[in-house]
This record gives sequence, structure tokens and C-alpha cells, in this order.
Amino acid sequence: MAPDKKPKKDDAKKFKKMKNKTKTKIKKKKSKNVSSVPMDNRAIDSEWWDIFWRRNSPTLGSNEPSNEEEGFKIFFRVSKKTFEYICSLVREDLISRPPSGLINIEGRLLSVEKQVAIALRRLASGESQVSVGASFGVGQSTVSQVTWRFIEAMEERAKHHLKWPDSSKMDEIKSKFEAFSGLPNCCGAIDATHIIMTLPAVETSDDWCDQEKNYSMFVQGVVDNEMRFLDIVTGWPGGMPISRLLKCSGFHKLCESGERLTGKVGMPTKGEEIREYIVDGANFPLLPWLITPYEDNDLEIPMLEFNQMLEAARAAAVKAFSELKGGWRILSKVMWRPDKRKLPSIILVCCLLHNIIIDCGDNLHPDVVLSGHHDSDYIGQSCKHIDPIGRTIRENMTKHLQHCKEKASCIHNI
Amino acid sequence: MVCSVSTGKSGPNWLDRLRSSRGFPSGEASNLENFLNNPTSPDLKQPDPISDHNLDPNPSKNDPGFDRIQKEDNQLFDVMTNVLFELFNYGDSNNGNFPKIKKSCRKQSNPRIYIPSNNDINENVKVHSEKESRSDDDNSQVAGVKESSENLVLRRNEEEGDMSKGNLSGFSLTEVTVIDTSYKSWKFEKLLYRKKNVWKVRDKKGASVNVGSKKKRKQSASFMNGEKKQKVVDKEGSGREPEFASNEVTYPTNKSVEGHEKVVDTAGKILKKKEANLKSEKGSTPVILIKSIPPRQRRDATARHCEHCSFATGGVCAVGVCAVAEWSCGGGVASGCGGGVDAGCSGFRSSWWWWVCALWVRWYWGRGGDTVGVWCLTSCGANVVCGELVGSDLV
Repeated sequence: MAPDKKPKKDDAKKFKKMKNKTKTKIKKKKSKNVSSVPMDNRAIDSEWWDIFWRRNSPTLGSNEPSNEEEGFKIFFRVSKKTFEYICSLVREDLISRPPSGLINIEGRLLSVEKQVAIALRRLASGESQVSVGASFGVGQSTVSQVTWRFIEAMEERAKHHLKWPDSSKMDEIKSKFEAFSGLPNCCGAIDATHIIMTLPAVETSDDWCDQEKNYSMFVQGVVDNEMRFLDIVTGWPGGMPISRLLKCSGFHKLCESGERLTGKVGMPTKGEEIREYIVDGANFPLLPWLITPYEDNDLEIPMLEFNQMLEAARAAAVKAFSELKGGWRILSKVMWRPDKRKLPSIILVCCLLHNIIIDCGDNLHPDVVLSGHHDSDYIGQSCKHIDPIGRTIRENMTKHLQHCKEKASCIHNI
Repeated sequence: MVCSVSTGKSGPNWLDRLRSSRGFPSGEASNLENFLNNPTSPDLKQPDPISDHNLDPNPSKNDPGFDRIQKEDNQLFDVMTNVLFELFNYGDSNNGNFPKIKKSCRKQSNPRIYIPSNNDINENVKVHSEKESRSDDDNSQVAGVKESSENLVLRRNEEEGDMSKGNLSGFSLTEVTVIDTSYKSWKFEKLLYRKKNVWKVRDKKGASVNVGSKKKRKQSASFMNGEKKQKVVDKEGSGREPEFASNEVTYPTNKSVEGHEKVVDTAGKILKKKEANLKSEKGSTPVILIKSIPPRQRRDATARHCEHCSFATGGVCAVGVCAVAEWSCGGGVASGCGGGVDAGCSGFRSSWWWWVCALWVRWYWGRGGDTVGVWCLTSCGANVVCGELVGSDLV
């Protein structure tokens, strides 16, 4: 959006001058001038929704919602309140000012609300630009421009919705993880998923070809107990092994250098301490700060119980990615020859929108269909890498949890 | 100079006329061969500005003071002149005032394509350093070697070979745009090297994270045989100091950002330098231009036959798209339908529909059309219905 900013300022200056000159005239003919010259479209536009709803509500078929509020959520994945918040975030970047502003077929400037709605619909449905344009009465080119402007604006304006939590927030996350999974000091769950695409037959590197012979791009994310993304990395090709993906991430670097997941907690059994950690499945390596489940065939009961706890915590990441790809279907549909420089931005913005929904206390409509697993077509490949310190930590945790269980059963019996 | 003239296609009379018009001795082809092999032939009257200048009768020569200074500096002057001749490739000096440097013909009698192997890294480095010195040379265009597609590929290979100083030979290279929220600056570009299961990540020098600025890309990226010219320039700028971090995985730092700016500046300077070079040469030595630009394109901007694309063998460019030089006619260009639209229709290029599409795009742009509004007239490959957008599925 940087290139658009200067002309906008110039435009704003021009219109200030215009306003001063015509001040007296405007006073005399208030309503007429305002309606004929769209000086500023800061006023919240709701007309677009009425038209959109009339045009598209029948398309919902048997799942037709009982009221417009629900319909809004199905179409745009967010409530009207959250929608207004998103509009407020990007208003400065998307506001249309003549002569450079986007105009629709009738020659009127596109309101920020309509632009956000177009972009959200495109991301939420994953339908073609033509279909989305038809549902709003705009052309494909407009959908393309509006969506990209929205993505660029969100990249800049919504960054604060995706950040690593501070220590007080982290304490809260840890206690909630422990409450529903039983794992102490767990800071989050990590997972990765493939964003599948088609690429030109010529001049396409095999690096993008993954284990299932799809061209794909990875997105790796760490989530908290509320399925909020705390850290993501995307842009790396799907042909990369997950262990390498992890190693390429800044998260790995920070953890290895002791700048992240550094908090400790005492373990009452032996007086040992365990550092903060995150959890995931067997496709990630076992590290001191990344705990994975036991994989042997003949596991003892404490190990199996540990695996269950780990699975409960890990489910947060699996569900988060399922909601991400189910809610923002542009990520779950096979993209047709996307620009690989733009695709990471689109993935990021979908993650930001996912977080905004959570931060605003919103949630996906139950009618939005989610798949059981975000990467259902991919067979999990276990990573054989086991760090000795990580193994020791995992064993200590298992013992500690077993001890806690025995202690609790004793108290219960008494 | 005459090497760009296709002797196979033109008759001897025409060649004779050209020779005589340029002041070269006319005769049989063998004489011409001799002429090429022995540029110091006494028959030759080379339009050499430096030697002309030296031989030019100067009124100040009558001045005894001038003679004295000339004698004192004679040795130094000879050395400098030889160096200049060597540097600008004007051929050997035919001035009798200073000793001639015997020089073998620069060109091989039977040129063969050089394919660099892993063992030839040191040799590659030498070639690369020579190339660098050439690119620094203001008169590098004078060399005027017509770079065929093989040469371009070779140059790229050489550069990649140079990049492979850190044991990266044999690795495939992919440029990736990464977003990682662990860093202060979320978005950056990386070079990903892969050799089977070995993956290595390097910082991309001269990387730009300015995504979505199609105008910039249009201006800077001109396509030549499926390779972005910008890349070559970038590599010229970046290839000089191939600094790699010791770790396999490197991370963006402020230092690399500074380096990036410097590289962009360098690349810009080189471009400007070359432009200025071309302009100055245009006025003085038009023959050189004949060498660097294929004759057909020079004569007719709407030439239909493309010499740069993969359809060189009898292929017909869509309305001389390649002659515009802003985008190639699609030979190996990922930009697809006439260029500019990412991904595009290169997959079905063999189909005649591609040409229809390319024609349409050209017409559309001619009318000031927007690239994102370009439509394809037919399907662009598998799973795409008729009428789908040409280019990216995304915005």
C-alpha cells in the first residue's frame, strides 16, 4: 500500500482546499452537495449488505439461516460487530478517494465496508474472483484489486493480533493447558499444514512437490489453548521435511538460543525443574522444548497416559488448523497457479482473521463445515530425531505425572 | 564486425557490396577469413579512433618542446596504448611507433559449448572474475559478443557455480518469500538450495520484499529467453561478494538489509552505465549495435520471427512481441500470455490458443488495459473452465 499513500495525502490536501473554498456553499446547500460529490466515504455503509443479502440469501438453500445476523456470519465468517472492527482497522488504507478510488459499475465509490466484504468473501469461500464479483455486482478485476489491497492493509494494521504472549499471559495459557490436558508448564501446541496449489508444468521446481505429489506450501503455527495463533511461519515449499521446516523457523532459533520458552517450574517428585515447552505429534523431532509422544510398540501404562495427555494438548493445534482451513477456504481449495510471493501474505492474513475472531469473542458459525483433519490427505511421517535431553525431560514428566496421579488417588481413597 | 552478417542467407554480391561500402577488401570468402584471423593486415583500414588519433597530424608536433616531452614519455605512452588496446579489444596496434603485441585470435576456430562440471569450480571462478572485470568496463559492449541462449544459460551456470563456493554445486535453487512472525520484520526472501534430502538456506542478496507492485516489475524485468534480465543484473551485483553464513540456516539481519540496499544501488548503476554506454556508442560506432541487436529486429520492430525464444526454429512470434523487448514471446517465460501476468499460460503454449490469447493480451494492453483484467479466451490447462482468468488464481 506504500505507493498509494502519497497520492492519497495529496488527494486529501486537495479536498481540504476544496472544502474550504466551498464551505459557504455547502452550508447553504448541505444535503445536495454531499450526495453529489462523494468527498469522504467514512460513513458506515450498510446498503451493500441489503443488496447482497437479497441477491445471495437464496443460494444458501436448505441451510438458509433464520435471520440476517446468522447469514452474515455464514457468508463472511465474522459477526457484524467483528466486521466493523476489521473495517476500522483497514479504513485508512482502503478508503476510496477520487480520482484514484475504486468505483463500481454505477460510478459510485466503493465503500470500505463493501471492499472488506468482497475480500472476506473471497478468502472465506475460496470461490473464483468471477463468482465473488457476481455476488457483489462487481467485476473480477475489482475483486482482485480489492482483495489484494485488503491483504496488504491487514498485514500492516492487524499485526498486533499475532504475537508471542508476555509472561503474565503465558502463565494464564500454561494454567489453562494444564487444566484441560494435565500437562504442567505447557505453553502451546505446534503443527504444520500444506496449502495445495497447481503450478505451471514448465519451470517449476520439484521443491514444491510434497510427499503426496502435490505442489504445496507449508504453514507452521504455534497455538495457545484457545486455538489462537501465537507464531506462524509460511512460505517454505511443501517438499521440505517438517523437521527442516522447523529448523528454518525463527521460533526454532529463538528456542535454541534461550530467548523463548525459558520459564521453569519446580517438579515436586525429585526437585527437578522442567523448562517451558510446546507439544506436537510424532512428525516433529523430540527436543528439550518440543515434546512429542512415545512411539514404541510396547508402551507401559504411564507412557500411554502421557501420550493421551499430550494428544489432548496437541488437539488445540490440530483444531486450529482445521478451523483456519475450514473457515478460510481459499486455503483448503487447490489454488490455481498462485503467485508464490503473494501466497504467504494471504496465509498470514487468514491467520490474522482467525485470531481476530477469537480476540473479539466471536466464533465460526456451526454450519461452517470443518474437515476432521486439516491435512487429511497426508500420512503423518514420524520423525526419528530424538534429543537426549528431550528424552530425559519427557521421562521425568511421565514420572511426575504418574506420581501426581498416585497422590490424587491416595487423597481420594482417604 | 561482419560476424553478425549471416553469410549463409545472403549472396556473395551483397557481401561484396557491403565490404566495399565499408572499405573492406572485396574478394573470395577465404580472403575474408584471412581478414578475420589477421586483423593487423596492412590492407585493413580500421576505423580505430585511438590509432587514428595517434596518427593524426597534429600542428603542435612542429613544436620542439612537444617532441622532447613525447620522447620522455614514449615508453609510458606505449605501455598505456597497449593496455588500452588490450582493454578495449580494438585489435592490435598498427602504429609503427611502438612495438606490436602478438596476440592469438580471441575466438576459437571450432567453438564448443562449455558445460561446467563440479570439478571446474576454480575455473568457473576465473571466468567469473573475468566477466566481472568486463562488466565493470565501460566499453564492455565493444566486445560485442552476441550472446546466444546457450551463452546466457552458461553465464547463469557460471554464476551459480560461483555461488556454490560453499559446497552448493549440484544443488537446485528456489527463491522463496517467507513470512515468519518470530522476527521483527516478518517478511523476507531466501534462497533455498536442495540436493535430494539436503536443504540449505541462504539470504537472498538484492532481495526485494515489495510484493504486489506490478508496475515496478514491469519496468525492471525484461525477459530474454525465459530468464529475467533483472536476475542477471542482480547476480552481477550480488555475485561479487558471495558471502554465506557459516550455518546452514541463516536469518535476516539488519546487516543483510543494508547489503540489499547496496546491491540494488549497484545494480541500478550498472544499468545506467550500460544505458549510457549504449547511447554513446550509438553515435560513434553503429557497427557495434549491429552486433548486439539481431539485424531483423533492428530493421523492423514488428518482425515476426523471434530469435530469442524457444521457437527460434521457424517459430512465429505473436505480432513481434519479443521485438518489443519488454517481454519475450513466451519461450520459457513463466509470465505466460504475453508476459506480465504471473504463471500464465505457458503450460499450453504449444496450443494455437496460446497465440490467440497472446494477441488478445497485446491488443488489450495497447488499449491501456489492466493486467489483472486480462481474460483468456479458452482454458489454460487442466481443471480450468473456459473463460477463467489468465494468470494467478489469487489476486
